[in-house]
Amino acid sequence: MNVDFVAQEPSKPDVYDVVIIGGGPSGGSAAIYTARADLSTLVIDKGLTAGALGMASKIANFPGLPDPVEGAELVRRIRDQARSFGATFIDEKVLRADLQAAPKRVWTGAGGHKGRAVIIATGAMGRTRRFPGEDRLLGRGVSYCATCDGAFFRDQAVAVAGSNDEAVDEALTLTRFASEVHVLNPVPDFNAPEKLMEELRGHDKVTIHPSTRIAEIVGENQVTGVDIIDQGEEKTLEVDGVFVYLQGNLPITDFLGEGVSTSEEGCVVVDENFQTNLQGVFAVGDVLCKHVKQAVIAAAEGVEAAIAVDRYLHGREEFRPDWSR
Amino acid sequence: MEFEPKIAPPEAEGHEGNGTYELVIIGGGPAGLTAAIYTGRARISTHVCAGTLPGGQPANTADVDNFPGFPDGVDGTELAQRFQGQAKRFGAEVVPETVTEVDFSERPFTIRCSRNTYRAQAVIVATGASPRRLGIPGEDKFYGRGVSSCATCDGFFYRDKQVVVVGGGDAAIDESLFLTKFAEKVTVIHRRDELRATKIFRERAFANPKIDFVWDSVVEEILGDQTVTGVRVRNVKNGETSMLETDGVFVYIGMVPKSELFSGQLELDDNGYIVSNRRQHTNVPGVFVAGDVQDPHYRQVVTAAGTGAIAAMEAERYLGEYPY
Repeated sequence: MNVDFVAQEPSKPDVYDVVIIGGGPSGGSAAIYTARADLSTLVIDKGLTAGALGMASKIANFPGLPDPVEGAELVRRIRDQARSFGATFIDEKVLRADLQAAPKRVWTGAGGHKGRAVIIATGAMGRTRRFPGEDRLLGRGVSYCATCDGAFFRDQAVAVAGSNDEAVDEALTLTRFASEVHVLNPVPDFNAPEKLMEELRGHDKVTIHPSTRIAEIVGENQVTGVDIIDQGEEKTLEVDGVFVYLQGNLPITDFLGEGVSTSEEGCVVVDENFQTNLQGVFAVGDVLCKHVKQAVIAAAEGVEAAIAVDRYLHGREEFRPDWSR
Repeated sequence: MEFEPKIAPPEAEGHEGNGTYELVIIGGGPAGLTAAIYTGRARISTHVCAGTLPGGQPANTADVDNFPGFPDGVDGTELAQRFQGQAKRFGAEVVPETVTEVDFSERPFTIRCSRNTYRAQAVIVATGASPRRLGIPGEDKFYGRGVSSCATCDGFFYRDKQVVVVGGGDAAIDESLFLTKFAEKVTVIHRRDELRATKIFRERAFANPKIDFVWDSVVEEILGDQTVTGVRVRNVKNGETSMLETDGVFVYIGMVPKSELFSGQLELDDNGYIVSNRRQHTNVPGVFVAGDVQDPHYRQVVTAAGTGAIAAMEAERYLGEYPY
């Protein structure tokens, strides 16, 4: 249409109409629709390559994109589109939520956010197993959030386990506090933007350990070190903190807290409009488990949930379209 | 029977076609073509009867800005061509031909077009739906550029403008309420003197200061030179005609799913939509359905594409489980 439109400056309301947790294909597509429907929209996401699509090297079957695109590029395009309609994106990790409150609350390492509705689109790259010592030392040197806990490690040595942009970003955050940062990458290469990688490689506090796995996190009451297998060789690094950003294939629901129904396998349960058992709380994408992992299907789910959110917020959820009568 | 994939010549070339395929897709919009991208890529021999105007509803839309992956928006015709090119590149045949008759009573299923007859072990129906038109002067001229049947798609373009909504059912009033988020004023023109929409919609519409009503009236003509500037309205009770200035016209007098062809063979609901489960199965094993012909709710390009992908994967699974 030949109607000029200038995207409005994203406003930062105290309470957003909708907070979307996860900015992959489903969360990002939901944001396109909610922002375009004039709902104030906040998307909280861990980073471009932190999700399943962002990690994918080439996508050839996303309709409309005949030339294969990198997963991270498709995610970036979807986010730019949502931003163009006024959605706000922040690079943070949600640690805790209270979805029974009104308005609903979510907390990241950087603070709290409020939303009248919430869409859970966190995907299914949660870790399947923990390292020996990890659970016992959680909060005693083991952490999943450098932004939250970095300051406790001033002038101390820390290890960061992971290979995606979230891990690299968090390692760089830790360089502001720690005296040494050991990055333990289980695979040979990183999956992170080159700009971040340059910064990481060039930092004099950082030591990169490629192809290095953690065998055990050690310490009595507090982390004192980490046993690693560095390209086949076993050794111990003396560190005071271990930050873990590894991935698996479990739905990411650990932050949800009380109230949201999940199945025995930990998958979020929704009705036909993608609403959970809690009013105004929706879930889409891989966190529902039952789905084949296809970007276009995840995007479609995000859009359906976005339309349901708009109806929910305007008291129109009982709507049953009846176009042809 | 012995199954041999065979390339049927396109109808346009005037050959006698008699192709047999693993899968025939009926419909060449976002749902059908996305299904073809998936099945072509899975090396399933796929023929798409795409209708006379391949591309489906988006092909008539000037600008699609809400299909994920296109931050700068995309011309509807171009998007349709992209879908089609992608399906062809993965090996699907996409032919502009119209299906005249189907027989789903036994496998292989039979799909008859005016010239060619195809047989297929599985079928995906993706024929779409069309908004019921007013059938008045100016409607065709401005369709997709001032006349719309989708506020979710186009409402955004009417920030601080004036729009007219034609209709009085749930859809008309729901979309009128949606449009008040953008438009300065929404005028609902309805041919009766009361709304048929459910109570909650009526109450909300009457309470909304941005919504005005013109009762007992029909739109007779959509006016404008380059863009829509107004409508000519006739009062059906007293026959008086008047002009109303407006920047856009949204028509909600019903959608018509394109399902006549399947009546008696597939289960349809009261409104003519093909009944399916969430995995896009119809009541006939081996026949799947995707897109607007089964969706009275969302009607978005990406939701149609999503169901196309699901139908394709289910068809692939079916072909693996029930070899011929």
